[in-house]
Amino acid sequence: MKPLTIAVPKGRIIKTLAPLFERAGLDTAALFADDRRLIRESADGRYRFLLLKPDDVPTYVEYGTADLGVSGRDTLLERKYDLYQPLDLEVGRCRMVVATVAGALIPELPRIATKFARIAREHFASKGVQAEVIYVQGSVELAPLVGLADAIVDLVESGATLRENNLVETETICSISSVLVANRSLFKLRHAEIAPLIQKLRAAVAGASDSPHTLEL
Amino acid sequence: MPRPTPTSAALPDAPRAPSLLAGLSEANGGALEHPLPAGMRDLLPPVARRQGELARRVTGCFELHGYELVTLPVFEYAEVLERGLGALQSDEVLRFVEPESGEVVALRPDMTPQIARILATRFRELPGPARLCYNGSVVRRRRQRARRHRQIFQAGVELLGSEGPSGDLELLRLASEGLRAAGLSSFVFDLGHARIAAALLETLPAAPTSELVEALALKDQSEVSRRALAAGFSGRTLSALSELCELHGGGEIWPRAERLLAGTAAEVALSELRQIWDAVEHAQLAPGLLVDLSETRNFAYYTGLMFQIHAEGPGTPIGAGGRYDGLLGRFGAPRPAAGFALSLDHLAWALERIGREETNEQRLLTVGASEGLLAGLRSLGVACASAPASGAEALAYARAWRYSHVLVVAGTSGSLLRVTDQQERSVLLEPKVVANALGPPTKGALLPAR
Repeated sequence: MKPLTIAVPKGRIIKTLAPLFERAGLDTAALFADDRRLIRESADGRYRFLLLKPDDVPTYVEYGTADLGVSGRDTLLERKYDLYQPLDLEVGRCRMVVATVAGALIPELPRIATKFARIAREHFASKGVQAEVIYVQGSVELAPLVGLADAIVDLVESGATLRENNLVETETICSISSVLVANRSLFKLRHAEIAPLIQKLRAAVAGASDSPHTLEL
Repeated sequence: MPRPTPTSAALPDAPRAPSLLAGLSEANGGALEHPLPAGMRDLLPPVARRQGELARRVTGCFELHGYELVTLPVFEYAEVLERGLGALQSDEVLRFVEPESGEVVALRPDMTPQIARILATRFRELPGPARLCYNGSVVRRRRQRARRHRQIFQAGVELLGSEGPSGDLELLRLASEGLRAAGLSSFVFDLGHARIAAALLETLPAAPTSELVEALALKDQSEVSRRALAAGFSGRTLSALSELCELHGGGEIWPRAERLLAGTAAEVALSELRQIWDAVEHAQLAPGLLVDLSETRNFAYYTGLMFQIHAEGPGTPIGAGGRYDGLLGRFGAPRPAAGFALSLDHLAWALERIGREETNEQRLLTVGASEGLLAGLRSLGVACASAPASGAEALAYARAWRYSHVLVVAGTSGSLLRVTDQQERSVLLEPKVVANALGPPTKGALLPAR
């Protein structure tokens, strides 16, 4: 039988995912093998993992090159993929917030620096505010400090980076976590294999939420 | 054609400088570097032939079931077309202003509204049901990803004026037959019902938020629970909405679904869907059969059965359809309606995936043959044309343009060369003899799996 292909984000998030996968009965040793292979098969041959940049995971799944994947809600909200999102894995928790320089007021027609242009635009549009959204790739906190923007829209986990840069949260747009995504057609075609896996993962997530978990992103 | 200079483009009488000309390259003799807008494409000989063949097989099957072919205009008044579109599609429509009338027109994004218009205007007085089929391309504004060409080739049917389960079943049977006629033997029907989620959502007087509908479509259970609670749902309806996300799969979900929805607003729709399921299963219409209760894509448009057809390969449905009893009312001729469309591109992809055997068409290139011989061959159904050159050049030409054989005529004798292996034999110059010598279409190599 063909292995189920799961697209997983490279990097630290794997360490929070691995315990969940293991509790759900997946053999994750291959994920931690110390090499540079981007395709790794579990020893039992049932799963094939594709190691991808986090932002690329939904793309591989949407095109059907992976059956399942793990992606952050931030990416899914920002890029609007045509996928199923059947399970919130409740790891990688953080928040999408609006933040500005402590004590500053956000003007009527604000300029907003962000990596999440769509989320920012839709958030302000829903309040009837015509924000000018400036796309930046990183170090978003810098923008209001040097006058590029009046405020930022960004992901915040503990808030430490904001505090260190003298920024304060003014609004929470939504909470973010990692979710399991599935290709719409493969979810149906391989339902007999995917449905039990989701059920085991669901149980693993429920088990994990009983105990305090570490936040990592 | 010279590259337009800024001055010539600015002259009032000069032709507008189309951006295409910016792609004219003097280096390659004035050929266009980017001759097509993004998302549009040509189908070249082998692919176009294969697709034409596929369309003929599918529509031929529809016609065998009494569905008559209609050909529809490529653009129409946007106001008319958009009456018949699902709400979710309005942002996918490519509109422009028609210069003569100043009216806004739209390239058809879907042929169903056009058929609804025809029924309401031309076939209004005829006894129902009307059975019509179509085959052509629709144009949608391209979203960013996943093989979303702007131009999508479809073949579909509309069954207008036939109510409820018997009409639904006729469609599912036809979809099954159409796919088998195309050569696809392995596919999955995924059944849903528009009134299940809708009935639950309508128990609150306020219209459901689009976020909640979208979360259902994504099967994003935690988001559904959160949004449903925030919207004010409670009790059995709340838990039903949340659990809908888990209710997809084979026949094993029915007991749980029936328990969950008993006594809720969705009970009637569920039992209707169950009836259709039982009938489809009994008639063995599809090798794979699934049900999905939380499907809400386009559910404002559908009023009953909704279904999608999946097969290995394209990673996206190869066909979809359902019942839209509200559609014809929007065109002033209220009556039940249902239909489905197959995506010919995705169907072709699924066929390639299973390694369908291609037959190589026999095409004959002739050197020195008389027009009389060519005409005789054509009357026997042999595709043939004269070569522009003789000798080795003719063979090279035959290879380049996919001819299977070359017939070289010298006086009263002919020599027939098979292009693949250059096997040569002499033949009498009689159309029948030459046609027989070509033999039946050869089985080609298996198409490589993509």
